[in-house]
Amino acid sequence: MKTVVEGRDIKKYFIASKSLFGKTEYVRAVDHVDIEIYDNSVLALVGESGSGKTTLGRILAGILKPDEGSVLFKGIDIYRDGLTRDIRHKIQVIFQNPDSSLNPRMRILDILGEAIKEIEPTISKDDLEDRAAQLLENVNLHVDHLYKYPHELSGGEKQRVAIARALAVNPEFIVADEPVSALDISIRAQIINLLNSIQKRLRISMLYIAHDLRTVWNISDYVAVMYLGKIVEYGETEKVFRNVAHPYTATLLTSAPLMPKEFRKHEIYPVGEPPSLIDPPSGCRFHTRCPIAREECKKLDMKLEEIEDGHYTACPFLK
Amino acid sequence: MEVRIEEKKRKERREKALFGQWWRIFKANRVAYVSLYILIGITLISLFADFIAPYSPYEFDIRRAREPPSLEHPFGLDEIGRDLLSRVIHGGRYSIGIAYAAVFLGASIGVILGLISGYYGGIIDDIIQRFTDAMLSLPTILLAIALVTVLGVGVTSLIIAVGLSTVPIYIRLTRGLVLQVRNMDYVLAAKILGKRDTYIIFRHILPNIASPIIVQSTYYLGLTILIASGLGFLGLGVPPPTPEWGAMIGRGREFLISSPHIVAFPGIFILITALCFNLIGDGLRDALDPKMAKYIRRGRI
Amino acid sequence: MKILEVRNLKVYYFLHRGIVKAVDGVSFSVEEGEILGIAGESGSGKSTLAHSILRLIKPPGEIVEGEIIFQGKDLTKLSEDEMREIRGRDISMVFQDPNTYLNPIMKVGLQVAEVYEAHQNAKIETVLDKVVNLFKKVKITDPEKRIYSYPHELSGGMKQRALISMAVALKPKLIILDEPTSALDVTIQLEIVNLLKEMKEELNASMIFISHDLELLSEITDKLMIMYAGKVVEYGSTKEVFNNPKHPYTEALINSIKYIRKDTLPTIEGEPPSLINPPNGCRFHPRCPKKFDICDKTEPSLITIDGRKVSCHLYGEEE
Repeated sequence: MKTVVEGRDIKKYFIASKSLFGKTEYVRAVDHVDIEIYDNSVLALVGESGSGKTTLGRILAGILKPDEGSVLFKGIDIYRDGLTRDIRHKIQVIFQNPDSSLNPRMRILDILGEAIKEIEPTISKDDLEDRAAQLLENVNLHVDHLYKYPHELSGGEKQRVAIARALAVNPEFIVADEPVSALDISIRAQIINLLNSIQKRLRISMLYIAHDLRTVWNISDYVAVMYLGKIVEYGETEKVFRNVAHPYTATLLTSAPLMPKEFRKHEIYPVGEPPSLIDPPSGCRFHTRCPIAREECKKLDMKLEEIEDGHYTACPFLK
Repeated sequence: MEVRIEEKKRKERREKALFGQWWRIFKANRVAYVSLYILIGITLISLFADFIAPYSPYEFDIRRAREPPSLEHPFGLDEIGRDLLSRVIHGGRYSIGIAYAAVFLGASIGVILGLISGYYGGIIDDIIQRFTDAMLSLPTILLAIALVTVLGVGVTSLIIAVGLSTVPIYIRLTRGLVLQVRNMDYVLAAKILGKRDTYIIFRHILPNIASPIIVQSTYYLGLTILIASGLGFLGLGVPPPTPEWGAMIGRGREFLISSPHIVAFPGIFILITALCFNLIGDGLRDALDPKMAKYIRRGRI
Repeated sequence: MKILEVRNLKVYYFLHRGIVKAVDGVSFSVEEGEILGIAGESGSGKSTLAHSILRLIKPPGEIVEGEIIFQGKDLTKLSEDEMREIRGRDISMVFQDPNTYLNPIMKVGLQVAEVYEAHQNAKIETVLDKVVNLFKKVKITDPEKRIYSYPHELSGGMKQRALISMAVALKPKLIILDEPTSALDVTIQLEIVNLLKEMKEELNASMIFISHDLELLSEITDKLMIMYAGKVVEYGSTKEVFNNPKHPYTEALINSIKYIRKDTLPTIEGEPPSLINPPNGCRFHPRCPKKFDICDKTEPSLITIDGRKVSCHLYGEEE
């Protein structure tokens, strides 16, 4: 299969505190991660808050330069070679909170208009309005919304506008950063269905960042599970859910009360509190919360090993 | 499928006033609303001073100096026998005009520097901020005095001096606001679309920080009137015989006990104008803050 | 025995745009030792309802009608001083976001001790061991040290545990939990839910658990009340509501939390209505897949059917 986006050995640390004489402390948001997104497929990046998934998403979207490693978009190293305007348009982002991703002082028409003008700088006023109306139609919104301000729209409608804006520049890769977690349950399904149909129709590749396994199960072809800046399990969605191979993924699956029985192969629950990213545990980073941890886990080098075709895990002990 | 918008609807919608509900909320604040009208009144009177003032502000009759208010001269005559009413009416032109010009100058420079400082950060930010620190270490009025001493006496130098003395406050204010807005997702979204920095600054950041800056400017209009008058009082403002309110008080102060009207009338106008600007500022602050709008009880509006 | 009974409660917000009828004629009761779940989307009035029980509604909001009977007393008729006695001692509350509830510049243990100070006039120094015991109960590790920690030194789950310890300190009869786990990660959510269950058993208290997360409610509650646009649409035992939802809205909500692979998720079309101008008749009718002629004309009353209360024309009128 063709790879569209590839992250190689990505590292991103943020400075947590710096003192004049003491040593600088870092938040190890992304710690040497390799990741690949295939053509016309959805990779779900799953993890809890503080796992570094948003940081990784931003790095892959070309808006946050990693400290080390490279991001290749169709073979072009976007941080080394720089983003041309054309490639910039090919990678778009849908944010979690539509309240902050739409400029409150602009009408929907102007919000979509500025995206359309990127592709067609000389478009006439009337054509621009028709194009914007078409974009709204594509995300199942009424044309009347064009003349409204974001605050006149509901959360779900705003998120649809954000999706329309991303689609305006004909992207090939979309990073959707928890696009439904700020929305009500009844609206979530609508947005997921919309993303699903758009992805299929336009054959867009997508990185779907989420902590909600229900939507992940619905939308993704592949899953990467992240814990404290590292990917601990990766594979086709079906395989990861049915054949879970890392204890952290297993605890995620069992923590959802309504998770179907078939995905609860290991009834294990995590212990204690998540450690801080500033001083992550040695060895396997999950060992402090892992119910099946052994002595050797403290020294274990976390490396993804293939356990079945296209299914990788960083834990050899979950049987 | 091709989507076309009905021509009629298109027109209708385009013409829909962008005027939000802020005017309604502003109007509901009676004090601010009345202040606005008083201020418009004072401004109009000063603008048309040539037609309204009963006498010339410069003609004097030294024999009738310091005459108290009478029917003929409602505000009385000043220390060399000029009609005080006419001088106050003409003086508004200078006092208010200087305030507008100075605030416009200060805001233009301060906001642009603040935008650059806040948006780009890094070394540019450091330089601008150290400059601001240095300027802010002097009280505004002292800064204005220092500048006027350098620039010399006159209307233009007064505007420049008072205007420049407000620049550091504008830089601080704007920078703080930019820092809040800079990290909003819509700014990031514009970057992801490939928009240039100048576009983002003027299209996305400035409109979202405009309200607090407008509100602050209204307060500064009141403040600059006071500063300009203060300089006039100290003899550092517009040179005589120009009728500027502060200068009028300055020259009338010797006769404060014997002829208080010479000081009182310009003083009252300075007070009213500065107060109006402040009250309008309060009203605008409430009206332009969408969060306030939500919580106002229906009964009051 | 009924510990709390709410009768025909109406809470309105008087805004300049109009009157928001956040809670519009809601009746329910809580039995001793029972956990009642209140579910609904944002804007359904569930949070307003919770706050009004403790009379925490601030202007422009107002309790305009109804009775809140707690241990024989109508809380709506009590003075502010009498209410203050009841808050924290007889009825306590846990809020969604511990960060806004805990004072950031005060040690956590002292904040918990303040509860004793407020209600028992105890000196803070004398109750510190009580606080340590409480922290042990809510499973905060290292309680002797933790009471001297500042809120920012604790993780989200820890902070929520501290809040829970505050809520159970005076052994209240009723604990109201307003989305207590929404700000937490999934794995921590389950731990908190289990802790709450234990606390309930130990204190023999009743609980009102408010959440938009039906999955979580299915795990913890005995009874479930579904709210829509300020009204109760269905109210009955959690098991029965889940197994056999009667109201079309409940049914749609439960469908929306099913795990479905790569297919269209069942949705509820449209958006929740405005509470200033709610739809005529049944408030759900514009979005209802089963609506018929009278739904937009008359408002259905809450009728009892199979031991459950439902407000839907599908089930006819009560005899």
